[in-house]
Amino acid sequence: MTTILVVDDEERIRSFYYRLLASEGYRVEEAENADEANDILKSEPVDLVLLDFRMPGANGGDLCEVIKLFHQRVKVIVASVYPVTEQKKRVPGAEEYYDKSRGISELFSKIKSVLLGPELEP
Amino acid sequence: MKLRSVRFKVSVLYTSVLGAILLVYSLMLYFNLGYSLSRAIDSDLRKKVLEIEETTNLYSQAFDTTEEKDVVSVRRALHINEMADREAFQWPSVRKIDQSWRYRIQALGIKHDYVVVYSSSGEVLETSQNVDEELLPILKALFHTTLKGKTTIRDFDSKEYRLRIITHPLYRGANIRYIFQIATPTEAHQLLLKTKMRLILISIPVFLLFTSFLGSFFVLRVFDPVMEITRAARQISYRDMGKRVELKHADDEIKSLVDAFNDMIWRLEKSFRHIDDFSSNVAHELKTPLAIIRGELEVSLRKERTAGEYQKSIGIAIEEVQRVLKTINDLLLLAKLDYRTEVFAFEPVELNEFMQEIYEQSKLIAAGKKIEIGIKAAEQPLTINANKLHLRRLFFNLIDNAIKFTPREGKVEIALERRHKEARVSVRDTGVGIPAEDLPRIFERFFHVDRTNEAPSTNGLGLSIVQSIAKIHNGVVNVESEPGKGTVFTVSLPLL
Repeated sequence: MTTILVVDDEERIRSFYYRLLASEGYRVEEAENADEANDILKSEPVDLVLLDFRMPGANGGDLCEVIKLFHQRVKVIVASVYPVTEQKKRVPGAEEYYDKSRGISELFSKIKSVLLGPELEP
Repeated sequence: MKLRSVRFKVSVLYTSVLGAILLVYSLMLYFNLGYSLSRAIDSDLRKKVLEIEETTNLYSQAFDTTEEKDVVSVRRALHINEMADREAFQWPSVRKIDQSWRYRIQALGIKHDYVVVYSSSGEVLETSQNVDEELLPILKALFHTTLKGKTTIRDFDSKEYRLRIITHPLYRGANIRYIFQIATPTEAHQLLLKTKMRLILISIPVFLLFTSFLGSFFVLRVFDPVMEITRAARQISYRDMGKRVELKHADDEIKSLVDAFNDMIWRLEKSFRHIDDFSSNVAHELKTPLAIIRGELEVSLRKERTAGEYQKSIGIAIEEVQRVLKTINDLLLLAKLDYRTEVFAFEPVELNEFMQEIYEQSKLIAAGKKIEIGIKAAEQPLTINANKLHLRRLFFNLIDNAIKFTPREGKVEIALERRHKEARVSVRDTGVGIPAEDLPRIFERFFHVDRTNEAPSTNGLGLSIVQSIAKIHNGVVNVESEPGKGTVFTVSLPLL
């Protein structure tokens, strides 16, 4: 089963994505900050990280770098309410970027395309 | 050079001031020179006429004083130079006068002067040899328009002659015996004055022209940094605030201008960044609830759900709508508190009583979390000038925060006291506390302290509002905190 780790400091957002992704059949893990996320990444098999970068403590950018260094197999989708262009500026190196205000079908299609991997893209 | 440039104005100003000074100074020198020259001529004329008079008298004494011999004396005094030695008297006393008079004539320079001697009735008795047919009528005419009784000096100007003339009577007892008239040519002096005037009229414009060029050059140098600042100012824009004016060698005044300018750019840059951050924060704070609402609604539409699931989604959506509204209202309130303080009405408020009311209302909220809340009033009444609605909001925010960040069964205590001319209200909690590094920033808009899981999320405006309300009451808010032990907010408000 595909496991998605939702990293966000806002409990209400985590809970929304938890319900959303779980109902689509994904296994969902939650982390409140970068440290917690890192712990989960070390102990659990995670396929994809849905990452908010505006968090207290170590920010999403740092976490993304750590993932790219130590967990190369793990895909990252940066998800925040900032416009995608700004997200790319702040957290370079993620597979995909998602503006949270864009609706859930865009999120699902991005998750699917990232999980399928670049080799299958035309 | 443009007419409205400072350079032009400065040039015109100092050139005209300099011109005026030079002109006044030169004219002063010129007229002073003219005056001194006439004084010198006058004193010469007086000396000459007195010496002729004296010599005439000496001759008269030597010859004896009959009227006829007096004329001889005058003639001798006037013509001694033309007389050959053989005409000289062998008379020793006269010879002695002759010798000294010859010498004096040389010294006085009478040779070039025109001398006429008149009788008391105005007839010409004798003239010096150089007085010709042409000049004599002029001198006679002048003589007849002159007062006879005393010594007078006047000028005569015509094409041929420029003269200064002295008329001097010679008395014998109470009666006028002769009248001497000596006219001295003043062409040399006039020429000198004319040359001086020409020099003045030519040199001043040349001088002014030169200094105005020189001055213009200096002004240009002084304004060089101003040009530099102008160039820099043109290059600075919202996109590129990094530009600063750099001057290698600037004078103190210009340097302070440059510093002030750079400082202003720095402040602008800071406030631009602040606006940038602020709007980004506003967007984040408003878009997050909207994203959740949209998500919930889309999830509900995606497929058939149970009634419970719909209720949950609608509940969350309403909660998020309230959150958006609260953020918008808070922002509007902050704008009003910051920029439109005149809209708030103030009235005297007794704080002990006022806080008692707030305390009663807070008890209900605290009870939900089993938090013990207490109040300690001050011993004396504390009356301040306040806007009740917003002051209530200030303390509700503080107490609400205290309850939010205090774990179950903790304590919140409100205390009032009078300190000098201030009323102090403190709200103390036994909550999670605020890390020292966050303390200076907690009043910033949208600043979030690291939250624990238990504490509900806020929009980060509550404490900004607290501070802004304190400010419109001329008060301040201080905070002390120890992580893990608790936090004290103290509001100090001036007493009436």
